[in-house]
Amino acid sequence: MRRSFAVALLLASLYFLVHTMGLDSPARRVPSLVIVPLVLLLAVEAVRELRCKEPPSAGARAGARSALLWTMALPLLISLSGMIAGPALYVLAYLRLRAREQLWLSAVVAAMLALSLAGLFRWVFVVSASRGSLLSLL
Amino acid sequence: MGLTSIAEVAWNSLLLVLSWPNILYPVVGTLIAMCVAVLPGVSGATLLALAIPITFGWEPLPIMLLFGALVGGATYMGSVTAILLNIPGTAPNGATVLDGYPLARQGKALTALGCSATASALGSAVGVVVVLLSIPFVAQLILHVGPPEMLVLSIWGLFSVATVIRAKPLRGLATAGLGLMCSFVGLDPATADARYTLGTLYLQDGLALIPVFVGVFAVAEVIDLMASGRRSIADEVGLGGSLLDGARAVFQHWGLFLKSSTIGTVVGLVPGVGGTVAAFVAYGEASRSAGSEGCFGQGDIRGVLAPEAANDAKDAGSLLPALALGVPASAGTALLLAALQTHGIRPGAELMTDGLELVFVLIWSLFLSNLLTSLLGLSFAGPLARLTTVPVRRLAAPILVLAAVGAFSYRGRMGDLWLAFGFGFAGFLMKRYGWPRIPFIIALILGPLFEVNLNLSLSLHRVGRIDLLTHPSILFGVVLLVATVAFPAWQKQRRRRS
Repeated sequence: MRRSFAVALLLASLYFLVHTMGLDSPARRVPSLVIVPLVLLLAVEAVRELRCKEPPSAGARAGARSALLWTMALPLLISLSGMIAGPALYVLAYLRLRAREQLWLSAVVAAMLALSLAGLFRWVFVVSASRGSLLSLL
Repeated sequence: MGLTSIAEVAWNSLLLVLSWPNILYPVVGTLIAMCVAVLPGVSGATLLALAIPITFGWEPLPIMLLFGALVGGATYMGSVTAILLNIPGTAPNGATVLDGYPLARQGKALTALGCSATASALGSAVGVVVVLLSIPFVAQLILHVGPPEMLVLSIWGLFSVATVIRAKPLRGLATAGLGLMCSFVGLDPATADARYTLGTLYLQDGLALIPVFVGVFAVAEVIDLMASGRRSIADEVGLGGSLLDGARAVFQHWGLFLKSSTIGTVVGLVPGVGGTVAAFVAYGEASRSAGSEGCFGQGDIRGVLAPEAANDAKDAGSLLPALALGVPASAGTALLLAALQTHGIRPGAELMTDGLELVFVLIWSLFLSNLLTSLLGLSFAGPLARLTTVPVRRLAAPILVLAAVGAFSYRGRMGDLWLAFGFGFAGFLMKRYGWPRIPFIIALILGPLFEVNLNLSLSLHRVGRIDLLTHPSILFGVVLLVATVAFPAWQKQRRRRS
């Protein structure tokens, strides 16, 4: 993963380089000052990473994978079920399944969160809450 | 108008603010702002937007009192979540996160909160004094700040990257370069060409700072906490440190405090720059002046002191261009101008002479609010700091939800939510594999300022309006940069000899 990340950064910088070369002269003036040394720096770092041995860390990798999955579940749930139901469902699932709290406690916290969010979007925030792609179909 | 008569008006306005029932407005306004601004993304500007419809029928005096309190109250609370949970409440608090949260992880949340509260209150006081002294010549001063001066400021800020990447210089430079490239995403300011937008409409506005900050710091930290198996934020060390240590740090580093407050006020005076630049330039200067003695980015108390003092000092400064010239320095002051104009108060020379009392009412209300938030912040610091000992398994989901709500409520776009979590993933990998995040953030903030002012300065040079090679500000900037590099090196050499 360490190596993949270094290579991913290099690829991102190559995207910037290719796009910069396609820009008109005034728009690429400042970016071109930055991008060439950046690509070189990232190439050096990527080569250095590819040369050194990656320490085996199966346990740490599993922990990180689980943490990443739980984290990315939140924006996914919000996209599907909206800014009020999404976080509430997430907290219910997280507290029950990962934190191993009792079901009634998880449900009460989730319900309170949904009410608070509804209140915040109604009276405090200047933007309206997204309904999510699933709820919008209803 | 002489300094004596200005001081007299200032004193009379202070008495007016402290009189009954006027005092109720700043107190109630501050309390409301403190409660609501705990939510990430809710800034003084958001609160002003909400307050404008309520105040339509009010007299100018209570409006000034309430608006000053709302801005002041919101500024401080952002730093509480920044220190305790790694969530910057507003963009300027992004600089407080850099050393505030590492201090919390070392069990020194109380010290960081104490330092933040003291630096905020005293920074605000310095801002008021500087504004008071600069009122007679402020309009002239502001008109003399142009693209070359802003270019020097941005280069000076970018220079601070060099001081925070000593441990991994190549990677630090690389992440700073990535930060600069990310800051160029969106429409080119000169030609309106779409750059690095992946063909989407969403990215044409550029990368929004709040979602990126929330991602790189808060989301990345939660993933790291969950992955590392830590029991709580201050797991290994427990809760230590004290409020007094934090408050004492401000007086121990009084030179840095005064320098940061002055940076904040001066940057605040410049229209269109704002608190984020002030906080990061002050942080960079603190890191640079500390030299090799500092441990910035790993929990140096000076890394909390400098941005907090600058951020609060800038509030008073940012009011002047708005009130004297009608040029808003930030979103908050733009809303303030809109509200004042709805009530028939026009910014300009008339307001700065005949209406000077109202201007001071606003400044005092802001100062009082900053003082009150700091006092309340100190009183509640103990219970708040206990958050760092709450088990991660209970804290992770609420922090993620808070981060998601903060990222979304900033502009109401689902794209911002995905941006925050995308940068959260990248921030986690950067942290885990030793790619420094601070240079990335500093470059992301200062990139647009650098690009716009470089282009403008070059255009002005081309048409013969200025000569970049002999322009006093550029020459001053070169001397300043050489001095900031040479002075610490000279000091180090002298210390080694002695």
